[in-house]
Order: sequence, then C-alpha cells, then structure tokens
Amino acid sequence: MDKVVEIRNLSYSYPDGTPALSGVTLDIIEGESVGIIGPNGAGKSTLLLHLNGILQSKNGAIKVLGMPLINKNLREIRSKACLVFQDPEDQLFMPTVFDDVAFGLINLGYDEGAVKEKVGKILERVDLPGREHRSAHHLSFGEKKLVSLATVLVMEPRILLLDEPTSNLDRKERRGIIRFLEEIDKTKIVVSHDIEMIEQLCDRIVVMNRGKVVFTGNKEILRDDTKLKSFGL
Amino acid sequence: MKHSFLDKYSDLGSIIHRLDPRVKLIFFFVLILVIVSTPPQELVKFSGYFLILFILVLLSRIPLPFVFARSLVIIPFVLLTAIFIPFFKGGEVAGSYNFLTLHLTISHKGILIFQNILIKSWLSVLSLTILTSTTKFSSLLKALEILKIPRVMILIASFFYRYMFLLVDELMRIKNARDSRSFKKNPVYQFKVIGYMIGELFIRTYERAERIYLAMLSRGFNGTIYTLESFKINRMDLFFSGCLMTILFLIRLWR
Repeated sequence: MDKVVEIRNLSYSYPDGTPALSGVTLDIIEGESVGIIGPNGAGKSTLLLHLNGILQSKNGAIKVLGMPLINKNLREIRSKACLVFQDPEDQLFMPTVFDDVAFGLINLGYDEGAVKEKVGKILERVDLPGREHRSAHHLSFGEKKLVSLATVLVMEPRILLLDEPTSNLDRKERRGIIRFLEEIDKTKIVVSHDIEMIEQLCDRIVVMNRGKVVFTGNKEILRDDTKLKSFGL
Repeated sequence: MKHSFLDKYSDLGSIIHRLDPRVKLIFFFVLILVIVSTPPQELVKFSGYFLILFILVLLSRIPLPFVFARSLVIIPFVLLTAIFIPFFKGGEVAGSYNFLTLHLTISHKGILIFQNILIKSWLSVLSLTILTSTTKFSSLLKALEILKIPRVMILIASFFYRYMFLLVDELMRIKNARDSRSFKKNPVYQFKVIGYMIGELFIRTYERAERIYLAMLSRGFNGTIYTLESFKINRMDLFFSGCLMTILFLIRLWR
C-alpha cells in the first residue's frame, strides 16, 4: 500500500505564539478516506493547511506523494493535493463561475480548448451546467459549495483536502454534497464537525485535541460517546 | 441578504447587448469625447447626441425609467460643485440681487458654463449607464483587459465587483448586531460604536483577503491572473458601430 501523505512529528505555532500543532505523526494511504474530528481549536484546519504547503513548519517533516514539502516541490504538490476551503466566498474570487473553475487549469498550463472542455464537463458533473457566465454572488449557497468543489476537482487531484464540506448547508444540499463526495474515488481527507457525514464518507477516523492526534482507528469510535467526550468532543 | 445588481438588465439579449464589448467600449468612449468637446452654445448638437442615446436605449429594450433614473444620480454632485459658477464669472450681467449686505450678480457667461457642465455630465453618465446595463461587468473587464488597461486596475475592479456585496452583507450583520443590543441614544456614544464597527469591518475584510490569497495559492497562483479571451468581432459589430460613428461625427462637424 502506497503512503500518499507522511507526517512526522509536526509542530507548529502561529506567528503570535499560539501553539496549534504539537508532535503530529500520521500516515495516509492511497485511496482511503480519512475523517479528522476534534473540538474547535484542536488544530484540524491548521493540519490541513500544512498538507499543500500553505503553512510550513520548521519542526517536523511532511511528505506528500513521496515529495518532501519544500518550496521546490510546492507547485507539483499543489496540483496534486487540492484544498477546498470552508467558506465558498473565499474559494470563488473571479468575476464568473467559468473563470473561477478555469483558474487552476490555466495556472497548470492547459491550452484554451482543453480548459473549455474540462470546465464544461466538470460543471455538468456537479449538475450545474449553463452557470458558466454567472457571477458567484448570483448563486445559492449550496451551488457555491458545489462550484468550490468543481474548481478543485477540475484539476484532477490525487488527494482531496476538504475543510467542513457540509457546513451551513440545508438537508437537501448536504445530502447532495455527501452523495457527490462518495462517488469520487480519490484519497480524501475531511475535516468536519459533522459526525454523521464523516461516518458515511470515511473509512478511518483521526481524533485531534489540543494540537495532538489522540486517536486513529476505525469508525466504531464515533458511536462511543464516553470516549468522544474524553477527547473533548 | 439580497441586493440589486450593478449590471441589472445586462442579461437581456437585445441587438445592443449582443455587440462586442470592445466595440461598445470604444464607441461610448468616443461618444463621450465628442460630447465633451462640443462648444457649449450648440444646443442642437446636444439634442442630436441625446437622440442617438435615446435610440440606443429603445433598441436595447431596457426600461426607460430605469436608465433615466440611474443617469440622474450624478446630478446632485454636479449641482453641488457647479452651482456657484454663475456668481463668480465676469462679463455681461444677467441679474443682480441684494441679500442684506450681500451683493450678488449673475453673468450670462456664467449661466452658459453652468448649463454646459450640467448637459455634458448628464449625457456622459447617460452613455455610461447604457454601456453598463447592456454589458456584463465581467465582459466589460475582459474588454478593458484586451484594450491594454493596466492589469492591476482590472484586478482591483474585478475583486471589488466580486466582494462589494459581501462587504455590504458584513456591514449589515454588524449593524444588526448593534441594533439588537443598542439602547443608549447618546450621540457621542453612538459615534464611538460606529468607530468600533468600522474597525471590525476592516479586520474582517483584511482576514478575508488573506483567506482568498491562500485559496489562490492553493490553485497554483503565481502572481499573474490569466483568463481566456472569448470575443469575436463580426460584421454586425462593424456595421453598427460604423453607422453610429458616422452619424455622430456628422452631428459634431455639421455647421
């Protein structure tokens, strides 16, 4: 089994001195779906931001797809390990949906024909055809979440990093997103408070608390309330 | 929260909407130059320009009240800056008034300049109103980009367009939060609160900008934004702008 992510003894403090991660060690295998849960401030999102090199720590080592996470490899890593932010308003910054979805592809150097074809295909796949020339603020929240996913999926990443993919969605939109994510057979790392979604989507659970990984194992933990409480959840 | 959109009616599919944005941009730019350069006393010519604009509005099928209401937005600002001109310009006196110890005279020349400013600014804003309500904002930006307007300015405009409504939403949320907990009516205290609100809005905007930058980095941003160009000038564009330009210059140069 191939390890796609190897994290060794990773520690990180924010510039103002707040410690966020201390001694995290974690391996992620190709093709698995890992759910990271934990109380607010446990360091889940911070860990996610490390996996495509947005945050870089001097303490500890990360390898993504066998490449050490250093500046030389960032471009390659970011095209293979793609992050979807929690707030779609942050993810969608271009004047139209088309430009937003095309943004990553153009940066990767695809030519015009390929970009148009891929954008069209992915918008059909997220069931939003014909929205190319809309502005993001004309979309509903659920649609924005889907387009955010599309902006990243279109780059055909090997690892999908998802920060709270179901937050603020209504029941129907939430079901839609979960069903859609289930169909994607890539390595997925999902950070969320939505325990039911994690249970449905993930094979392996990682629990974090106060910057440490306090548990890794299978889904049974999600039904063990006393144990979850002892982790601060 | 819902907002009316900047480029309301830009989705209509009229003949004007379908023109190439670059052609429209250049046409309206020339139109404004011509309007501004026309001598102030030539009222017939101004009527001619107005007629062109009026026909454009009719062709574009945008509701007349909308266009005219929007074009009038500029008038208060113009009035505010130009209202004193008739009193200060020398020349033939049109009338003089005495208020207590104040002696005011109005000159014909001053009135002419005032009227000139009013007409020209209104016609120019009317042109811009037609341009922005027949062209999508994103197409307009792209057209500006192709016409070699500096990229930084286009990026600023593009981010502004994308996040302006979000900023308003954010402000409304802060305002609602204040109003639901605010009982004191002391104006000094209110000013203090407004100060805090502005600060809060600034911090939120700053933090959002950082998150957006991270999202851009995650998708391979390296300092330049590239977009695809997708405009095509066809015969209709050339015919239409050719006709309009000819009429325009005929009016301008006719004695």
